[in-house]
Amino acid sequence: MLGLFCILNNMKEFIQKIKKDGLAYLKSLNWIVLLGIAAFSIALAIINNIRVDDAKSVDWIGSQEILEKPADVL
Amino acid sequence: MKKTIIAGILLAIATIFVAIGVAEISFPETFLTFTDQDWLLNIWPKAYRYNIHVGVGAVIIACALIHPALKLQKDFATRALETLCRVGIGGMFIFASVYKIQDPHQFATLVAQYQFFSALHLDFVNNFFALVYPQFEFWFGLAMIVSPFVKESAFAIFWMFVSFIIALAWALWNDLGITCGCFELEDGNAHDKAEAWTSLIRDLILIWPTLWLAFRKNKSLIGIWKKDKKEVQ
Repeated sequence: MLGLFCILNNMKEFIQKIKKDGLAYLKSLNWIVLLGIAAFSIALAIINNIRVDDAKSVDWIGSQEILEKPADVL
Repeated sequence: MKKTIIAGILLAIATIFVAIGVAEISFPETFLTFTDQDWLLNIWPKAYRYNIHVGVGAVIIACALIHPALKLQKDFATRALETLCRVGIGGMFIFASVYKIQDPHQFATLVAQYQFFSALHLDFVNNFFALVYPQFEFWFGLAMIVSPFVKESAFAIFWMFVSFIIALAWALWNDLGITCGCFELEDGNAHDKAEAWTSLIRDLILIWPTLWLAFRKNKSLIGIWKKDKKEVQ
């Protein structure tokens, strides 16, 4: 019983440490750069979809048909 | 100086082994692979089946060579490894994105074959995802090489690797037998289950250096080789 209590207590400390370190790591990131690149990528994705031929462009919202799986797939 | 040269040679050989390993796993039939060589197939016709084994073996040998290089000259080896990982992983992401950016329709078809969004009832996201994701690959790959923001770009690439691993595991779990769509776009139809396995193994290997890079200090590629102010003093 005491052993189980110790294991659970250590686990709790371990989880708390991971949580603390994880938050510290996230705070150390330069979010302006991260979100800036993400926003830039989204803008370029929109421009790229307009730039490419009609055959290669897609609707903004939607999906593509799911092709039938051939019988000879290994 | 002697130690630095030996560490450099070890790292150069390790780089060749990693290149062979990635080629064997992901790009069979390229000049870097052995298992498709005619002379080997003449002696052992089933050699081509063991490309993943040879690839994983080559990566393990590379890791075994990196260890003594780090022991010999830790500072130099760490800087060299960071440079190689940044150029290798960043370059791979740029290379992987080009085909997808050129043909969003084909890539959207390929993404749809995973049937992941449809399982989550998020079908409508498929096309937008197929448009945006290759751009993320390109720009975060480029940022990893040319910008000092290695931590941020490695963080983004790490989560992209996680998403690839989830998607490939999903495809294997559901026995979809689809092409990965990682580097080239085929017709989007099912081809070979083995390709999903090779891609999954490759991603499971490459996620570790990416995670390591996510904890490095933000420095440009040239900045890595400059001595810190503290070291100079």
